[in-house]
Amino acid sequence: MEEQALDFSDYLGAFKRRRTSILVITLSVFLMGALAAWLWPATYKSSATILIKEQDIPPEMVRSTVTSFASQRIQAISQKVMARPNLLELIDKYNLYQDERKRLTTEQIIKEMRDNISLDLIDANVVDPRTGRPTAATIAFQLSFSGENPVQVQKVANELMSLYLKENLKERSEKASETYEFLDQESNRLNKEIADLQEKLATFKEQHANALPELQELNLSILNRTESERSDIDNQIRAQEQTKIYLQSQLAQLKPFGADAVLDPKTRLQALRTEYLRLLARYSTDHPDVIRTKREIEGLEKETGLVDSSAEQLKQIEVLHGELGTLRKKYSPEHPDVVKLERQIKALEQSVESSPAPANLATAAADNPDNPAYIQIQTQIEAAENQIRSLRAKKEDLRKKLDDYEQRLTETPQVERKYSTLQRDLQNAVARYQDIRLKLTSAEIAQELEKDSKGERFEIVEPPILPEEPISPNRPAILFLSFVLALGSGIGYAAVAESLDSSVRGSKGVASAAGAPPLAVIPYLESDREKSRRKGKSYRRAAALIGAIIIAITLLHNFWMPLDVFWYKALRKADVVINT
Amino acid sequence: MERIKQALERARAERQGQPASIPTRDAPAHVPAEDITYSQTRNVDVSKTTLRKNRVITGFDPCDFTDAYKMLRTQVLQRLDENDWNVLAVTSPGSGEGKSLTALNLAASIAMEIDHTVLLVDANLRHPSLHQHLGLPDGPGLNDYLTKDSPLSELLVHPKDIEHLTFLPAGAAMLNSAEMLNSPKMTHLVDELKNRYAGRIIVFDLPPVLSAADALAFAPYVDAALLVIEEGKTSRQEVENALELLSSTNVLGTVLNKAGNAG
Repeated sequence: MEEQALDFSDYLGAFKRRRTSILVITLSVFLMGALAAWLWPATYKSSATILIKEQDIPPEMVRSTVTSFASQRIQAISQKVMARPNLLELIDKYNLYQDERKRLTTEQIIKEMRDNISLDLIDANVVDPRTGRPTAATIAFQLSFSGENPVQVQKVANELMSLYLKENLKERSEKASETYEFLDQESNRLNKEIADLQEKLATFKEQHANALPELQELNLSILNRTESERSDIDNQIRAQEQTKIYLQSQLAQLKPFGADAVLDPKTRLQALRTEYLRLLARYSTDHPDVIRTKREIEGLEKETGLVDSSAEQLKQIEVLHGELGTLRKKYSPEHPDVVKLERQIKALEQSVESSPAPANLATAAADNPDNPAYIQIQTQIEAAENQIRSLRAKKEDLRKKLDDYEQRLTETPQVERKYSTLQRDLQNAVARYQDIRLKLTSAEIAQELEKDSKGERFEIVEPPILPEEPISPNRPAILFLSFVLALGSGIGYAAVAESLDSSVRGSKGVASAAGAPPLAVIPYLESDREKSRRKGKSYRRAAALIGAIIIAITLLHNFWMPLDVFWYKALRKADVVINT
Repeated sequence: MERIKQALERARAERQGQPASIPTRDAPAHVPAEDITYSQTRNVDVSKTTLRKNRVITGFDPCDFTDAYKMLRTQVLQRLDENDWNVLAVTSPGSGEGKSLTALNLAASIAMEIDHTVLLVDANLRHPSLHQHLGLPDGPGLNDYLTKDSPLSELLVHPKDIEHLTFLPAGAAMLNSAEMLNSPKMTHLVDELKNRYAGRIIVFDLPPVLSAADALAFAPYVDAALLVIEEGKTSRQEVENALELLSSTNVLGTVLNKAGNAG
């Protein structure tokens, strides 16, 4: 059969052969579909429409702290509302899903409830005031609940709606107060930071009081002044030293002991002593002149308190040695003058040796100058020296001062760096603090806004109503579908059966199987008994069909809509179809 | 016509006790060379209602059904005459495909022609059914001839309504039918029957080709075979297999039976 093209008669033959099974299958599938359409429980849906109302006060004046998009917020609220405890509470309260609770787990029931709640966002094209670009903004949303009991459905939808509203308010005020609290904390923290920085800065200033960059000018001028002062003093010192040198040269020209000295007891005593020595050289100690002189000396000594100092005597010895040298060149040693001098020196030397303070002549002479001019110059030199000494001390002071200021000036840049860092930190902190204070103020206002419900809010446009008509199932559609499906399955069955059937059919079939057409085709002959049986069968079939139709009409009348209503509806629909 | 007349005369003569001129070539001694005549045959009455009920064509007025068999008869006879054959086997690939009825109706149809006599042999020893089609009770048949040496004259039946048709029932069902059909006795019988009368067609109703060895075993002894195919039941594969098995036999052709049967 496969090798040959099928023509219409083959199809017709196949259909005739299989019409019983096609009919049975088609009818049973259609009946099942129809049953499903009747028995499918009705589902009711109740919806609430909620408008998202913009903030009353223009956002240019008061900006809310809740800035997320409405759609985003609605989704977030949905998650909260659809949380397990909420749904369980609803299920308990309205006694939902009674049948399901017997056979499903709580988890499955919760899932079913979530499936039954639907949330549709209604968008509109608007211009975003913040960016100025056109965007789609959510302006409203529809919240609905579907179930089998219309009253329950309405109640649950109502409850869900109020949950959304409540959650939104809570969320907004929480967010506003959270913002405020956060800003408040931040401002406190900054305040503390500023205080810390200020204290640090003060300590630093204290530590580096002299090297602060503000004092740099001052330090520099002091340094300059000190330096000029120092050079001044240098000049003075130099002048004093010159004076001293001059005086010293003058002093060198003067004799400490002047001849025309005024004969004060001291001078007289000296003169007497010289005289005495001279006498001693000439005479013996018993000479009356010697005795007299000696007495006179002793008297003067008592008067002045001066004991014959060895210095005087050493001077004397020096002088005498000089004279002796001159005489020796001139005379022989036995010359009386030489002898006299030798005696004199000897006596003096004895006297010096007996006296306690041995000293040379120079020092002895310097100690007790008696030339008034000499003494005066000497005094002047001393004064100059004093002057120089004090100037030197002053110079030393100045040097120390200079060192100190130089030190300060070298320190300044480093100090400046740290100092400016500290100052910058402080400035930053202050700027931040000011900023936060501003924000805190606006957050406070925003909080008030939310408290008074003047911000963006949800407004009920349409509360859930009691649904009168079920939204599903679409019974006519199911009927129609089952009809199509029934036809399809009947024909499909026939097609499959035909394709699986490899039996030989018709002379064409025989020809292809056996290689030659059959000698004869003998038609099937119905015997009389078969004929009558078939007739009876078709009568029964017709009776059953009529019965089924009657039952169907009865069902239609009782369960869907009364026949008269159905009739008018059908008429109306037909009318609509015709008119359109 | 003349041949039948001759045959009738001969039969009458035999009835009167005259020995018939029997061709005795190759006849084994143990086979009784009995004459097959209507006089010796049991004449049975078969009611037209029974025939009609069993779909035997003689029970009907001319219609599509009977015309179809006439068509078959004509073609079969043409082919047999062409080759000078007179032994025909009717079989089918499977059982219940209508071979017995086809054999019976073909035989009846041939018997309607004046110049042909027909011997219908029910060789389906496994499930004998032909006698039921004719409305006959169970009785002795081929089985008895083969196993008990019963004389053929006692076994043959002539239904009164169908002229020129002699029927050899199968008798009781037997298990080793294939061996029996292949036995020398059977071979001899075929030979005997084939050559006794000119113009007589012998139709064997055989068991199905594919379900038993009988048909295959018996095939070599017949001149030609006819394969019955039931529309909507016999599959291509079965037809091909059956033809393959019968390839050593002359297959006259096929008959498509029960055509147009719904379901």
